[in-house]
Amino acid sequence: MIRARVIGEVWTTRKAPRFASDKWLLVAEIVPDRQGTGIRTTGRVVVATDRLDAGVGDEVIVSFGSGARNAVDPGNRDVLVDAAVVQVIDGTSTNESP
Amino acid sequence: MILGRVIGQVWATRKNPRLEGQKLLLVRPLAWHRPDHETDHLVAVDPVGAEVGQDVVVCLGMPARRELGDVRFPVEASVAAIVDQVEIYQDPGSVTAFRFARGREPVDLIERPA
Amino acid sequence: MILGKVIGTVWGAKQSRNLSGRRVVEVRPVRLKGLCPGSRLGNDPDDEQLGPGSLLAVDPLGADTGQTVLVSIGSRVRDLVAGPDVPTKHCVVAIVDEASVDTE
Repeated sequence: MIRARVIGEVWTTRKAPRFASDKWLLVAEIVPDRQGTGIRTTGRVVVATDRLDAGVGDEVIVSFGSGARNAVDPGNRDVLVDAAVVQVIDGTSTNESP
Repeated sequence: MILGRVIGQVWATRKNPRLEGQKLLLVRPLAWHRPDHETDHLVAVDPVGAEVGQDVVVCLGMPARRELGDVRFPVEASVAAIVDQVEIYQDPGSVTAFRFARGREPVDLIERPA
Repeated sequence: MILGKVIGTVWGAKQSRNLSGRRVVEVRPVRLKGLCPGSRLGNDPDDEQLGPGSLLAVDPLGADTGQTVLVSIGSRVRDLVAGPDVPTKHCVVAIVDEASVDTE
């Protein structure tokens, strides 16, 4: 799992059939900065499936692989997802953000 | 999944039999996504019909095989969709503001204030 | 999957039992940066078309030194191509005839 910030959205019409209903967010990985008082981006940007209705600017947890699938539809191996928003972060004890 | 630009195509005669009849695209990622190896490209099977110059969403791992309809395909990247538009919300003052590198912007990129 | 050029083979008498009899090739991944639109990656790419790193892959297809190959990454593909007991995550799945680089 990584901490990430929702920075945008990806719009598509020609999807592979089994992705048809997915909402795809563009998320940027964030980590505590060197001082440990704030956050910084790492430059890593991925597209994540969102079923939690996360908003732009939200800080979220993104899971990958089978973990992502478990978040979207546990046990259903036919769900196609390789990265998913699994939590919208309301607060952390590591620093001030969000 | 990652964002990438289709920049070419790959042809092979000697290959794993399950790759027979699959279209292989050469894709350049538009942003860093921590690949297993530091390369500036990846090759993805394309069941959607993307063309050179288009932006695509590439799915990685097990879903990339399931998407093709058979988990026994020996691939770990396939095209999940052709991108119409990427919308980025910019908050210039924020430490987490993101910008695509020059030359790596999506073909149809809209930037809006957050 | 990534493209790379086979730069040689690797062997040794002491090896994991599950690697014995397997052909292991050293592969330098292709670097697209600097390639002009319209260029072609043929069966023997120039060294300028290669990146700095290298990786080792199990090669069931028997690629020769100098050939361009498609390398798949991951344990699941390894299960399918080489077998579930083989200690690698990189497998050659195709020997490339040609790759087009049509746009920057």
